[in-house]
This record gives sequence, C-alpha cells and structure tokens, in this order.
Amino acid sequence: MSMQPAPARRKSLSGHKAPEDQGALFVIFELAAERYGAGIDCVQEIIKPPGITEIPHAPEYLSGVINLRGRIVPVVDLRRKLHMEPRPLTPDTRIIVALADGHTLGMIVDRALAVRPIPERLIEPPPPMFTAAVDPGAISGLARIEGELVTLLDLRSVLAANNRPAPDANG
Amino acid sequence: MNAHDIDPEEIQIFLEEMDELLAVLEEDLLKLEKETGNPALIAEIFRAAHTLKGSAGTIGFPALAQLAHAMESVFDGVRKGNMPVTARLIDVFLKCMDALGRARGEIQEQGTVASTFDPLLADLERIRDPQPPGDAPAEPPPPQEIAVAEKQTPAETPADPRCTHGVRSVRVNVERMDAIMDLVGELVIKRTRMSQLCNALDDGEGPLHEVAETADHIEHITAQLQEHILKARLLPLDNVFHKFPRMVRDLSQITGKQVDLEITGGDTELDRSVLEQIGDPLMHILRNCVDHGIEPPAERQSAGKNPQGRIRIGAGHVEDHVVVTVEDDGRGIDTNKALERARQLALAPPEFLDRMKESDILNLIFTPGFSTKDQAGEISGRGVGMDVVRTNIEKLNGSVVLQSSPGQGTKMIIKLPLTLAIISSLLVRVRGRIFAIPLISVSKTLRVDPADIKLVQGREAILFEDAALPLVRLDRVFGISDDRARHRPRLFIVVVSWGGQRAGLVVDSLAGDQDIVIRPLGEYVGDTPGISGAAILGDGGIALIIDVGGILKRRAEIELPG
Repeated sequence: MSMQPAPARRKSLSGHKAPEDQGALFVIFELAAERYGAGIDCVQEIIKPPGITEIPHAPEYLSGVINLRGRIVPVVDLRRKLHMEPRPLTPDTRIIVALADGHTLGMIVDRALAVRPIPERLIEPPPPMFTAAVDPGAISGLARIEGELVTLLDLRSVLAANNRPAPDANG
Repeated sequence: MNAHDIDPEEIQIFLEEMDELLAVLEEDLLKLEKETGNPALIAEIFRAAHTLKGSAGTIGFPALAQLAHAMESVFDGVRKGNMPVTARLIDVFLKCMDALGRARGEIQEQGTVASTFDPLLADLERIRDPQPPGDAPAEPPPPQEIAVAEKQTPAETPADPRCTHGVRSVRVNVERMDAIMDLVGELVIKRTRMSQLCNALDDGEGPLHEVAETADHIEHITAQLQEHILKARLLPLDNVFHKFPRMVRDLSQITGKQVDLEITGGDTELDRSVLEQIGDPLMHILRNCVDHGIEPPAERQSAGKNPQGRIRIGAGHVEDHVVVTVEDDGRGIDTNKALERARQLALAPPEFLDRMKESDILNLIFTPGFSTKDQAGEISGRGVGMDVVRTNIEKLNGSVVLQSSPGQGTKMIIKLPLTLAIISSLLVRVRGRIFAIPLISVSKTLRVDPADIKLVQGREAILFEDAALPLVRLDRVFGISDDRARHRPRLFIVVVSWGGQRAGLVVDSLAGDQDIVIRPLGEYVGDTPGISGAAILGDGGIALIIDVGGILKRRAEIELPG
C-alpha cells in the first residue's frame, strides 16, 4: 500500500485538512442529481476521464480500463453499478480513483463537488426502505449538510467485484 | 524447543535452504550410483547432510536433524573408505530423500514435522553397522564436529560447477521483485513518452536541447536498468532438470527398461515465471519417452540397438528465445498407426485426414484424447497428456514442434520466451480499437479483397497455401461489429497458429510491431474471453492482448459441439 503515489493526493485535496473534532473527510460527488459522499480514506485521487479502453464481454457496469501513470486501472460506471440510468460522459464527469479491497479502481461520477469534513453528529443511519436501488450494505449513512441530503457510500461494498459477496466492511 | 515459536520468515529461509540441499543430495546420489567411487560427490553429499543437520537443529526440528545426522554418519564412513557405496545404500538414501521431502511439506503447511523417521534411522544404522545395533544411538553430535566438517574439502574437482554454488547472491522476495519489475515497466513507458515530447520540443540549442539530451541519457539508463532487472529474475533450468534423473530412474525400474538420461544446458537461464510452469510439461514429455518411446531391452536388441535406451535433454539460447529439446532413441512415431488411430477416434473428418502431410500427422498426437498405446499406461495416463503439454507451453507464449522417424526416435523441440513479462507483438486495429497479437503465434499477414472470402460449410474461409484457412472476425468475437464497415475495399488477415490449428484473424488494418509489457487486467475485471491481458503503448494508450489460443479453442468448440 505504501506504493500509492501520495503527492497526487496532496495536490487534489490541499487545503482541506480538518481538525479532528470536525469529523472525518468525505469526497462529495453528484450522481443523477443527488449528492453522495465517500470516505476519503479509500480515495486516492480524482481525475478527469482519460481514454477508456473497453473490455469485450465485461460486465456492463465495467466501463473499461484506463492508464493511470503506467498502471492499468479498471473503471466502474457508478451509475450502472448502482442501477441508475446510464448517460454519456460530460465535461463535468470525473473519475474517483479509489482503493478498495486491495484493488485500485476508478469510479465514474457525474461531478465531483467538494472534499469536506462531516461531523459525526450530522450522520444518521440509513432508513431501511431507502436503499432499495442500492445494495443495502453499500450505504453507510445519511448526512444533512446545509439543507442538502448526502448519501454516504461504503466504497468497499459498492466496488466489491461482481458475484462476490461484499467483503467485510470493517476489514 | 517447539517450532511454533519460530518466526515464519526464518522457516521460509530454512525451507529454501532445505530445497537447495535436497536438490544437491538427490542429484549427487543419482550420479554416485553410476560413479560409486567419486570422492567429490561423496564429500558433497557428506557436506550437504551435515549442513542440513546444522540448520534443522538450529531452527528446532530435532527429528530432521537426527535423520540428517544419521545420513551424515553413513557418508562419513564412506568418505573415510570404511564403507562401500552399494545399491542398497543408494536405495535407502533415496527413501530418506522422499521422507525429507514429505517433512518439508509438513513444515510448510503445519510448521512442524509430523513424520517419524524411525524405520529409516534403523535402515541407516544397519548400513553403518551390519551388526545388531546397540552401542551407537543416533544423538546429536558434539559441537566441535561442526567446526571440522565445515572446512571445504579440497577433493572437489575444479570442473564441477557446483564449486561456485551459493556464492555472492542475495535472496529477494518474489513479490518485491515483481514490484520492481512493474516499476521498471512504468519507467520504460514514461521514458518513451518523454523522448517523444522532447523530440517535439527540441529547438537544437538552449535549455530545451539540454533537456532533450538528458532525456536521451535517461533513456539509455532505463534500458540498462530494465535489462538488469530482467536478468535478476532469471534462474537456471537446472532448477527444473534436477528432478528428472530420479524420475527417469524410477520410471525405468517400473517399466523394466534401461534408460540413460543425458542432460546438457542446465545452466541456461529463464525467467522464474516461465521456469515455474515448464516443469510439468517437460516431466510429461519425459514420461512419454520412457513409457512409449524407449523399447524394452529385448525388443531393442532384436532391432540391433543398444539394449539401453538413451534420452537426451538439451537447452540453450537461440536468438532471444530459449530452446529445450527432449530426444529419445526409441521406436519413434509410426505415422500410419497414428493416422489409423485418428480415424478410429474420428479426431478429424476423413477427407481431412486423407490429405494430411507427414508433419501434420505427427501433430495429431497433440489432439485431445489421442493415445496410440492400446492400453492406458500406468505412467503416461490415458491420452490426456500431449494436448495439455502443448496448451501449457503455448500459454507461456512458447511453441512445441515434434520430429520423429520410425525406429530411430522422437524429438520434441520446445521454444520458450526468456520472460513472460515482455513479448513482441503485432498491433492491429479493429473498429478503431487497438489490439496486440503475440508475434509468436503469427505466421503471416495477408491483404485480401473481400470477394476472396468463400463460404466453406457455412463458415468464412480463404484459400491460403492450397488449403482452406478458416477466418475469425475479431469484431464479431468481441461483439464490436459495425455494419457500415462491412463493405471495406480491403481487409487484413493475420494468419495465426496455435495448438496445431491455423486460422486467419480478420482485422481492419495493421499498426506495426511493438515490444509490449504484459499486464494482467486483474482479478476485478475477471474472466475476459479472448483477451489475455493489456499493455500500455508508447503514446499512453492501452492495447488489449489477444488470447489466440482461447479464440481458436472457442471457435473449435462451436464447430464440434460436445
């Protein structure tokens, strides 16, 4: 894990260092006009989509692979992975490069909004009915920030490979 | 002391040392069987047993140390001329080797030695002292003996390459080595990119020119670095070959044949990833040589041959490949019988078999299910062998060619890449996408007019070298066909061969040769039919690497269901 290029993280997230009491840092992004958050401990960097090489016969949610500084990194279309309506890339589209379950993976999101701390007191457990479209284990909580609802995703469960049980979320 | 307390890393180091010692012991014992008086061999066996005893005792496997001590004691007697090297002695020692091998497995899996060596200890004791045992309990030796024995015995002949064994080397964890290799791969790719940028910017003088010059230097250094790292991963083929003498000895005993095995070129080096996977195919080929190739002594004699058969294994570098040959002087392959067998099994349509060339008939033995021996031999199994051998070799981007003359023997020529990490490939374009085809499976490229494509039994084919060459349209294989592109004035066909089959891959255009670093798509992507990996090209793009074998196999399965 020490091989992850740390400078990139510093570059994309500079100025967002939060004191402990403000809560953990989350990357906030947009998918189908809703806001989502992912814990920054899993996120390596956020990039503009480079050329994506499609892989024949791959699962539909797998958009393909990209060349990330000489590494081949699979890219997941998060809309498809979360069973939302797919749409083509736009100038706002970003790839969040995440490290989950030992894999480096890219996730295509509609737009990256911010990196900000979310104090624990603002996070509620997800209501049971809410997660119908998404794997139940994939949502770690809901946060209400400045009047907006942010669904917090557990990237490890979201990105768990197809047909494999979600790995231990605590692991 | 209990082995549970031992640091796993130390156990790993011990096991690696044990592997080396066991290999040395086994090889020398088999040599000693032929040259019973060779003092260099005797000294080396003594030393190896001694070293094993020391290491096993230190790390905390007393039972192992005890067995090694008993072995050492016997060879101490042999060394001093008090004891002859008998067939019985060699047999008992080979049994000891088997027991040590089992113990090694137990240590690896459970961290302890579960086996007991009492029967072997008794056998060794009987060799050392033919009188009933009484006064010589096998207990660890007093420490001063170690100091004496660790002196190098000067009796070793300088011609023995083992003299240099173990000097000035460092053990490196394989994963660490792989990580370094990956980083160098990235460096190579970035270097290429940097050179391109510098060439574009170079103004012939001034600071940009200096940058370009520096980039040239870096390019040079990177190339050297890559070469050294590749070399650091190389291991001699002896690591695989050393198992063969014992195996051939055992097989010839079971089959009642007399076989002399000659091995040359064991110092030829290959990447460890190739080495790890070539052992089984070679072992299978050898088994076939003993079981099917070499005749029983009486049959050989009546054919005017030496009753003792001979198998030769050779290895060497040919251009940037390693070639391993396995050759026997046995009965060879009777092409008529092979053909008859293929008809019986209906391995191919009769009209196809009728027109087969000699070399193609020999290739029939690589067909799944083929075996010319009427009864399934205990040794070579049931005809599941040679097709697997070929598949495994081709998976390594290697190839295998068979030559045989009836009554005179059979020769297998196996060509292997030096490394799995870098291959030469042909880049092709299909519907705007770039794919890489490993050059080792490419025999030719053709440019054809779509009108030349005929339908043969409902499938597309062209006439190539007087035969129908079945075509595979890559766009269809990959589900990226596009009707607008159907009416191109010209198509390119890459003639590939794999597993004795030939086919033409239809592509839109050719984009040149390139050495590529193979990268797996990874566990997350999972199974990708027809694709064996990916490579990053000089311009930063990604080419998927075509799994020629997989594509041809799938095609064959569709053609011959069941």
